[in-house]
Amino acid sequence: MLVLRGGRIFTGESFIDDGAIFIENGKITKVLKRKRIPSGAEIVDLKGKFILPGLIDAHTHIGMKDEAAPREYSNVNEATEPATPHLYAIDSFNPEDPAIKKAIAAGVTTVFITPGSANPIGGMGSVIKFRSAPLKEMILRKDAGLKIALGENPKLTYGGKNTFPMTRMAVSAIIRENFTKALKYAEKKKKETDIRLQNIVKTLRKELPCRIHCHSVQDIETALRLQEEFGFEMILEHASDAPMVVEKLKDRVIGIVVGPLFGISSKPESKNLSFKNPAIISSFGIPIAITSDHPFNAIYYLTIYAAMSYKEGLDETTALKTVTSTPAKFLGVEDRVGYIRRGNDADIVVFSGHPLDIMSRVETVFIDGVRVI
Amino acid sequence: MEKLLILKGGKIFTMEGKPLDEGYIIIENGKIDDIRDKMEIPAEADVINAQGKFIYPGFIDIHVHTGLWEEGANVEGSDGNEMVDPVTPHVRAIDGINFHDDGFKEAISSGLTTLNIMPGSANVIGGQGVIAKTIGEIVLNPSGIKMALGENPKRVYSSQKKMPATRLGNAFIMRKALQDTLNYIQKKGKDRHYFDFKLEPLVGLFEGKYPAKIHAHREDDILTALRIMKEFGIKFTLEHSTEGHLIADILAKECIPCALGPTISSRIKQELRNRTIETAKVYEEKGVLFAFVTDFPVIPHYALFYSAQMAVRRGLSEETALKAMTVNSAKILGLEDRVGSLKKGKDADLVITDREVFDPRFKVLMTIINGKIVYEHKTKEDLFI
Repeated sequence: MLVLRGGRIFTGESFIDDGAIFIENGKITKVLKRKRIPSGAEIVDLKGKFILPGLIDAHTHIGMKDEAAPREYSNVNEATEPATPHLYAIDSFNPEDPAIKKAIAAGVTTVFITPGSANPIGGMGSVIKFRSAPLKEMILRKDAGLKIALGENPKLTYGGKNTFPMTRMAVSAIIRENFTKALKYAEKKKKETDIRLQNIVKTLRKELPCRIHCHSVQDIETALRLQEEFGFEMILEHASDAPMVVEKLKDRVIGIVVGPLFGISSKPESKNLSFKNPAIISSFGIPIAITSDHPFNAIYYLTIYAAMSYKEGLDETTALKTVTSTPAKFLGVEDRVGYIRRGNDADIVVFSGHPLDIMSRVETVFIDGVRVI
Repeated sequence: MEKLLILKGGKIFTMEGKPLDEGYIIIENGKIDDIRDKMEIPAEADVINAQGKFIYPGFIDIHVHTGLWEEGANVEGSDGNEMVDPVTPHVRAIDGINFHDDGFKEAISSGLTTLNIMPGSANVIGGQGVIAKTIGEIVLNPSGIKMALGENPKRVYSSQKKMPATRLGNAFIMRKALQDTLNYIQKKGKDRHYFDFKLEPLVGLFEGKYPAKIHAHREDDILTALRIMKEFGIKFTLEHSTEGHLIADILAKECIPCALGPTISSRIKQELRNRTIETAKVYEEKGVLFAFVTDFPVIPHYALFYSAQMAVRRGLSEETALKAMTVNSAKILGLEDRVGSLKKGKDADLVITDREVFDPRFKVLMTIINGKIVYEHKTKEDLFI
């Protein structure tokens, strides 16, 4: 038995001071206010430290485009046809991406990896936990979200080659065509398996959400319109203009994955990028996760993006949730990660001080109860 | 229940008979409840005093691309022409429109309240149009299938070394898509699982649910449109109809509604060579149903009035000119029960001006859509146009 004793614990919901986290067989068995520790337990004294669930980044391409690798090693976008619902991000995932070690050192233990936004329907994203095991063991949830992309990226990828889609009209038409076919496919009783449509059917049955890449307000409204037509559940990715229509979004989205925020507005549709957005969106009661969109922003500064949002008005608890429990819920893996609570995996990060203080360092990281840093 | 809103006029152009010199327009729940000569104003009502002013129905432009080519944007904000395939009936303007674009602000402050927004004319079959209020409310979707004959599809596809490179190709592609649709309807009748996403929107043309909206400038293109649509028994409107005055007798006889304009643009293409301000006057004389259009962003929304003023200067009656921005526009869109005139039961879309709209000095003082003030002119600065 391992016991982490003392410090300030953020459980994913609230704070516990001077508590004790009991770990057995890689799982958290108890989280208590300070109690007598049974003899024979291995004790780690964390007095004065700040303890968080292993951090989660809800939207990355880590392992799909290795750090320091030339462009031709990128496996993010299958930009050869605009509808590829049958592709899986995990098939492009390299567990040896040097960024993974850096991410763990920064306290990130779980990520969502997803195809990029070149295709209106990009493919299936999965939840990966960083542990030194074969890839199979790293997959927490294989079918975790179907990537959809609206706006400039698909337009410029294909329109520039004089192929469909060149306009936003056609981006929607591709999505609508495939979802309409999937609806009809789902109705048929006798059928051959269609590996493309079956992944869309999963979203129509609400087994998993659509993860919709959008920045501009018109693309957010298009996402709402498509949802009205097909009834899927959705999480918006980036959503730079979300503050303009935040009231309309409240009861329509599971949540919004905000980011990457650290950088310039590199394209017209992201002109309203701002660290103020998380506070505005959150004030309307919409759950948010903050993302690095690695490698667009570096995953190993994830807490800095949360801290910058905190500085611009996001409250402390919500800011900490954006990189722990909220992404766990978005990814449907909250029973495993994102919380320090009984039954969850013992993925734990120890900070030298407050995680939203730029001077704090990650001192220790446990994954499945094993100290990795 | 919302508060009553009462407009105390002012000269009221109801577009239902002669204008009233004075009167009261009663608005309730976004609709026109009544128009009266005299009334006791209830104490709880909101009152807009428009005495000495001019009141019109909200103006309508039946052919624009507002929000499809965003103001001041490059290729990223350009969503009007899917120029990769000459047949794209399955794309919808509604998916390309940015309803938060500045173009809509311009339209509202120009007194325009309803727009028919359509894909461009690069493709022989361009896609589905949508009718929307300028505040972004969708009125009818789809409003029709945009089609195009003449130079634009030729220019776009010949440069890609594809068909159509000639008017022959334009006509063939249009005919083939319609014939394919007829075959599709037949197949669908036999197999209920048979589905063609691309052709499905064209089925509505054969069912009479919405018309084809055919871009045609030159006389021969107009006659090609007429010929093909007759072959397939499809209702259609002519978009632009630049040389329509040369064959106005035929347009009148065949009862083909025309979206006329932009009549005050330059003759930048060969097919605009015979563009003249007098087309509207000829249409009036021959009895062709028409409405002025700006084709925004080709010319600004407020240039709708300049188009009408210029036509009046060349002999068109003011009455017909006004109709061609209001009630006839609504008629061509099939929306005469909702917009285009001031009448009990219609949407409370109104515009108040300081002078009659045929006086080039006129200003829009207020725009009301669905009974709500959406624009009010107070200072020089808030004049978006």
